[in-house]
Amino acid sequence: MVQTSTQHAQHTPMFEEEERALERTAAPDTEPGLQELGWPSIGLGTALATWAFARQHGIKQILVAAAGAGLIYNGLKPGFDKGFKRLIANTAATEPVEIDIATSIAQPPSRLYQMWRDPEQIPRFFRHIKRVEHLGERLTRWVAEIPGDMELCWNAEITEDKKNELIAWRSLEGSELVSSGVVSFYPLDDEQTRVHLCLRYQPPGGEFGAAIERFFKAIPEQILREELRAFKQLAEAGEVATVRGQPYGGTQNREQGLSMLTNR
Amino acid sequence: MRALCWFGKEDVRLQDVPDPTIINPHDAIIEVSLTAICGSDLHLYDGNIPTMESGDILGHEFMGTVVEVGPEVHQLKVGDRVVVPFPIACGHCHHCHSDEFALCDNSNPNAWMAERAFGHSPAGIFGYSHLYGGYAGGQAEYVRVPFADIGPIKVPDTLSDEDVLFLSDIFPTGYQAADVANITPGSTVAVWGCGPIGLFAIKSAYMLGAEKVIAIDHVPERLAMAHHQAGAEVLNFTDDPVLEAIKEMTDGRGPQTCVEAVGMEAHGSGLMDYHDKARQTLGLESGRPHALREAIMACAKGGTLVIPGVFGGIIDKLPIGAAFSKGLTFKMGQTHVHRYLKPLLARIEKNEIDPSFLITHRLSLEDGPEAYRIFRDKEDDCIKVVLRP
Repeated sequence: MVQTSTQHAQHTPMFEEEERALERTAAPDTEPGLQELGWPSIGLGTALATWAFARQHGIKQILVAAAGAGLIYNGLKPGFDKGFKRLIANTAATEPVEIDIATSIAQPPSRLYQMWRDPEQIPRFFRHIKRVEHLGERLTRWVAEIPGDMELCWNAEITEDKKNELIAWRSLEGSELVSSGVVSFYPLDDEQTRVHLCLRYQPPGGEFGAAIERFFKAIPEQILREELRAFKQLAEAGEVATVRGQPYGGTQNREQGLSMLTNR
Repeated sequence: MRALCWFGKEDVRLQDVPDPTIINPHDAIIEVSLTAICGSDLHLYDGNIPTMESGDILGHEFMGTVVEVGPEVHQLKVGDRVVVPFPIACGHCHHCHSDEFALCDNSNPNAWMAERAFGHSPAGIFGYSHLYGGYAGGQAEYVRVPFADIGPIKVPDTLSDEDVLFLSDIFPTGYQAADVANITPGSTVAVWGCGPIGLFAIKSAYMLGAEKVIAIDHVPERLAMAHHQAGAEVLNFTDDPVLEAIKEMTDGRGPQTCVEAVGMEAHGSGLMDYHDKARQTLGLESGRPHALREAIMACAKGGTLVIPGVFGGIIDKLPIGAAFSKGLTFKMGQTHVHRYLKPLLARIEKNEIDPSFLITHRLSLEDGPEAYRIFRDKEDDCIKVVLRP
């Protein structure tokens, strides 16, 4: 399932270079998923424990139950070691989703490049990113907020960094979200810079996550489109337009109705 | 504070609502001293603009005094007396740089919605539906004004509120209609609709060198004002066959410039009018473009048709063949108010025009709900209502 935007970035001399950078920066297609768990031992352990609890409680049953618990623990151990959230997120990873969007911004490439390289700026326009921590010159840790008040974390390394032109990155092994991307800044004229963002990621939650995503097909792309718009607004106007928090004549259902209408 | 809120078709109420606060760094809060009901507010009142939400604060024509500024506001300070343009513009995008402020890229928080409806998003507008951003409007005691360094213009104390209020919309809107029409000295201009926009378009056409302006309406007091105050030759479309009359008045050539200052709720006559009313009621078309059709038919070959009247969606049976065959140029859209603020303020200061001439009703904010009804029904010879909070 490769999902691409209908609005392709316009072809410029940068275009092929971006394509190549995206190929080079591709993150590993699969990460360890729930198949890492010791399913036979979990199954056997569960059977033993069930047998034990179904009988009258004696020393034999306690011993069998303990053995069952040990087997279950053994089977779940990789989850304790590697993190259940990550294993669930990467389970049975399907084809990556690719999102490709572009906009033009009335600012020079150098300024836009600086904003993108500044970990403090990123959460101002990437609204789903809670924070970006600087781990090293080319290493960052990303923390995203996902529905249900949960966090998704991944470490990313910058694989290509051409000052004022292009940044490519990919997630490192051990990430809860397998992703890679390229952003480029191409001067269209004295005033306008074309910003082209290409992002590729494994839908979290494996087959189940992919099914949800197919159901809400447009949503990740729409979210990213709004975030690129927020980047443009910050870069050009110095703030992101909003009406959140303004007064209105009170009705109970209004906030709910508005959240359906308004992204911001 | 108190504010006029929309609750549905023909349901405007005065409500107690929280005071607005600074949300973004370029915001200012204005204490409103005078506000007005615009003809385009009647499209909201009649329920013809989609994406209104129950409780939305109305109003896009307002002025007042700055009472608070955000940390990034540098041109305004507390105590400044300002008029605020109805479109909200960031001042820094491609369109703002091109003086197309009503097409600002960055001021509509619901741009995605407008992109679905129109392909691209226009600027946000105060109190004019969530498609245009969902901003709380200025028919209230206080209003939050985003990008306060870009829009509001300071006005001198020598001028009264009524002298300058209409810089917020209707004066620049009428003026832009004449300005973009390439009026040449000696030319004839026809204006459909003698409401506030039409009246300002007539006056502006004369300012820009038109020799004769023909005005079309059916409301006697509006025709009288167009004739006596603005100097137009007038036609009542219920009495005169408009197309023949205009042809005769222009020696058979038709007016070189036509201005459609009516918009989506035109009154017409005959079978086509019933057709439009039925389709609009059923939601099959969003406007009744009677005046627009007539203006296309009347316009001279090679002429320019300007549309300051508001259209929102889809209309039927537009005689595009007539427009094509006669090689017409169409100009339309919301007004780039910011572009006209300084030159028009200068004209007011030089006494070239007194924009308050069309005010017929001076009421308080409490009278708002009743004022909407009077204005819509054109009762009591109502042409323009101003409200003092």
